[in-house]
Amino acid sequence: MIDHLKFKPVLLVHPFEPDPDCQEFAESTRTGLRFIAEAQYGGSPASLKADFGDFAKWIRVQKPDFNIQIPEGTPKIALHGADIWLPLIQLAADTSMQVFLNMAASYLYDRAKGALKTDTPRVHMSVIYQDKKQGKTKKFEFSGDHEALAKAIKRFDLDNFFHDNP
Amino acid sequence: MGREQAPELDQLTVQLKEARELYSEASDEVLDDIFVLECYVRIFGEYGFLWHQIANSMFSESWSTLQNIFDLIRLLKRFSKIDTSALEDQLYALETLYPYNVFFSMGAVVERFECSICGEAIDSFKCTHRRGELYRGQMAVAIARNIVQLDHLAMVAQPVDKRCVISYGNDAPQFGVVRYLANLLSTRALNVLNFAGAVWGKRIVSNERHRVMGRNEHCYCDSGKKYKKCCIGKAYIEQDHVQIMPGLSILARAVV
Repeated sequence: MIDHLKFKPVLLVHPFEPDPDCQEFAESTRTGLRFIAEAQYGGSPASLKADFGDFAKWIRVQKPDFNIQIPEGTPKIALHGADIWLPLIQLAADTSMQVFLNMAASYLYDRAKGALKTDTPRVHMSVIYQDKKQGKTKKFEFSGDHEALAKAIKRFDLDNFFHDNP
Repeated sequence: MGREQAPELDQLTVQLKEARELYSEASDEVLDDIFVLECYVRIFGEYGFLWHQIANSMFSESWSTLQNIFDLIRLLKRFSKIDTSALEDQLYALETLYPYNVFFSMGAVVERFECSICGEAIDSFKCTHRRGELYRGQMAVAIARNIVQLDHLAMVAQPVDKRCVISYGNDAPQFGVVRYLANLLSTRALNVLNFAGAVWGKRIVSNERHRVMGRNEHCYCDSGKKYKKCCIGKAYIEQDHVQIMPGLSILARAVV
């Protein structure tokens, strides 16, 4: 019998056609990262995932000089699952995926403090970044637990895995 | 059924409230410690209430109380070094006896979340608090203001709140195992503190429906098949079985 509740980690990297905003951000001299509002399932207005604010503040505490751009006045979507949903993120040219992924892993470790042995939240994240070697914009999509994220970080060797899976 | 707890716990609650007032100017650490002690006292109250509900066949209500305790244990684990593993293990074992494993999760678009401490938008840098963190003995909570739209309702295995279930009536057969445990407790065959878990398995039992027939006769089960091709070998069948396991008192387990 198929266990539909059993979740398998998802790790995808694919070319991404940037919209004018993404293009403008990528070509600007801005640093750090920006959060992007997304349309949700039910045709609701574009909104930011509810975990974005906590993640932004956590980064601000850990790296006070790191620049974070947040769209003003955007509604938030509250998902009442135990999973951690990071908002759609675009990295500026000065921020590497490795740096970002390590930051995300540290954040998840911090969030897991106080978890019960049976709490196994998953993280979902989508990141738009520039593959400088190929001169392409790509989108990294991940869903999985801490263990799967640790594996993804190890795998994130720009010279190997991601060039083999354009 | 009213909620009662030991007078000693009521007294401790009052004393902690007084301590909050008395030490209102004390350091962050002192106030945070008072918060932890309040959680600790509340766990005892909820724990007693949980078993009281189970012993009185309030199985549906006891599920929520069980989740209250898990929430409090999470706080203790986050903000203190108090070892809760024995209690956590016992309650997790208890949780597996309940019939709930699919939950509901609502997605709603909210205009803003307000910080319970400073009143600013908690997701903005104007607010210096992080949700779920302690600030002078108070936990920062995000209060949803102006729900713009209900986006979806999802069925999930891991919700934020396990109380979001389609609950069964207290007399439902789905509570059979918890009911069996309640019976062990009320007949004093098992002490609450000694409940250590449950072992799930299968056992072979005699099939009461089974009949002996001629091999070529139509099977008694109305399958339309011949007896020899159908129920001839089903004199004994496999049945789900759960055994409630007693163990050392959790007080002893906590010390070991």
